[in-house]
Amino acid sequence: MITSNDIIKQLEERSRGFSYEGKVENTGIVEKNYDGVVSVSGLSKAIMGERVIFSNGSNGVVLDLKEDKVSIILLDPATDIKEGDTVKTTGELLSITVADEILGRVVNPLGVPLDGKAPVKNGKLMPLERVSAGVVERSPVDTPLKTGIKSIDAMIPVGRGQRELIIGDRGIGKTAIAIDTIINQNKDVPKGQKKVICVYVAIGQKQSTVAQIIGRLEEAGAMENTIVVVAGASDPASLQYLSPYAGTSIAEYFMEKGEDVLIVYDDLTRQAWAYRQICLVLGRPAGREAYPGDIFYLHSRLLERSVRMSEEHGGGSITALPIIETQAGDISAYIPTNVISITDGQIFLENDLFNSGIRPAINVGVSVSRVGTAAQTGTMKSVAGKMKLELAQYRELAAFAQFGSDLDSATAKQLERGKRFTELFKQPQYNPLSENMQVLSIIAVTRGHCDDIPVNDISRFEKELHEYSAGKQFAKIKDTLSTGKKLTEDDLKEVDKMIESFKKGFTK
Amino acid sequence: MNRQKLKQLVMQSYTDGELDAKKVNKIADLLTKSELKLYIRALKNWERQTQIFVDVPFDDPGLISDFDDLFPGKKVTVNTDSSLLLGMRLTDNDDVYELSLKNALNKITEHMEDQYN
Repeated sequence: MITSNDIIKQLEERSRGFSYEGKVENTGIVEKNYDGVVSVSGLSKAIMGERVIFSNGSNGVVLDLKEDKVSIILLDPATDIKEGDTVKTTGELLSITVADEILGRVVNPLGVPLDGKAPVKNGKLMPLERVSAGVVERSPVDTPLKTGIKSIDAMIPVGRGQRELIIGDRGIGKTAIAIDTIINQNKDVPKGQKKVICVYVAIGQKQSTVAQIIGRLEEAGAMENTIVVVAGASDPASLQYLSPYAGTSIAEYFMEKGEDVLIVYDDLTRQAWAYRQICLVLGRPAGREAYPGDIFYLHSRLLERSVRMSEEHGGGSITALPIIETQAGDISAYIPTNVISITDGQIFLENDLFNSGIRPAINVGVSVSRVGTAAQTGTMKSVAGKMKLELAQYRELAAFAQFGSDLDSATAKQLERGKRFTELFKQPQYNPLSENMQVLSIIAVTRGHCDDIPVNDISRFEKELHEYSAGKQFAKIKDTLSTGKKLTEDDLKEVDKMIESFKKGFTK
Repeated sequence: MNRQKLKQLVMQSYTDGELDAKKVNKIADLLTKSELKLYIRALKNWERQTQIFVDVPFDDPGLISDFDDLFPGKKVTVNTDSSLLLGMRLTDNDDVYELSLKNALNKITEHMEDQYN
């Protein structure tokens, strides 16, 4: 039984860390409140990015300092803030509390839990805005981050610490690629390596869409290693603007501990819209498409924080997959061109491909990865090189073949091979493949084993081949394909033998 | 109207350190609506900058002279707020010095709540 002495002792214990000193507070008075932006007089000691508290307990961030007034963006949907209310500074830059317990949680950009569980306490305060790592602290991108999607891992490989943009019209599978990549981080973990921690930042999305994504991640068992930061469509524009920074701060917490982190910003177009809205209300001069002058800096300072750190600085990394939505495939619009120039490559999704049944609808001709090839494993490199060449030739020939029907046998063969490659790149959603299976599929096409298989049967052929290769007698071959080392001619011959033996039992 | 002119108008609105209603009305008559808005804001700012507000829990007639020495050139206004319990709250322009028992108790409550959460 607890005695009164125990209760007093407990109270004393809890109050031990308390120290009180008379505090000086810098205050201001609300003059205007319009669309989530509050104009305040006073607050002469406020600093940019500082968190402030209103008399009703609402939070805000200083976003504009003028000679005689300060503009603050509200972080809560506080409609009851009125003229004459007081505001006080906190002396803190806007930060989010991060601890290891945040894994598997759904939070808003301020760290407030949205999953009904207890808030993360006693963690590290990570500022939302932070200067990115310098040149000396960085290391080149040399380790692959496998997405599990054949066309990406083979043609547009992503390395840890890279920023690879996913760009395309609405509803053609941008989020699906990002989700597949997150799922694959929990599926395809090479021996001796840790799982890549994933952060999914949902910006301005419908709550139902976010719930669906979380459900899918839970189903795939990926949620326990993922943090979801949500600023939904109904949240204030300020939260939508801040959410990518909050996600990056969470990612940085784990990176500082030497972990590899994958962060998905879904999507940065909406963040730019939110920032445009805030800036127009703030009265900042509008530029092209009414975006403010610093719209480029908005994304460049965010994406620069994705980095691979050198071993002396912990060796962690943040790989970013920002998503940009285009209108009618126009990648030359303002925000897409900005983000394309900031990132280290782009995965371009095309409406026509999507409608013709090629999913993921990646246009491998336009998509590039500027640094990822250096991070590709030797195994993948040894098979992907030939495939890239053959696909490039196929694209050239396919364009010319449209004008004439008489084709020599070599050209016809190349066209047929190209068709099989295109068919091979089709992959169902939420079904990422391990690298050895991807390599096996590519070998089957590049070494001509599929030339006599009808194009419509390629998917079935591939599926059954993967099942066949699971046999115990092929464990050695599978291990060879998993080592990451360059394949020798003998290795390839072994694989050829296995495919040939499989083909004998394959019914066309 | 530029900042310097506005400051001149504000300075001329005072007689012997006190806001002169006659002068203010005369100036206000000569200003446009937008200028008047700026003028009122500047007057408010000036009033805030030249005044010290001291909130204490009980009356103490000797306080004003003590604070006059501490803040020369500023007008000291003492108000009574019994909810402070002990100590005082001092407001100098937009800086608030919270030195009351009420504030200390609030801080303890906040700390305990944080601990229990």
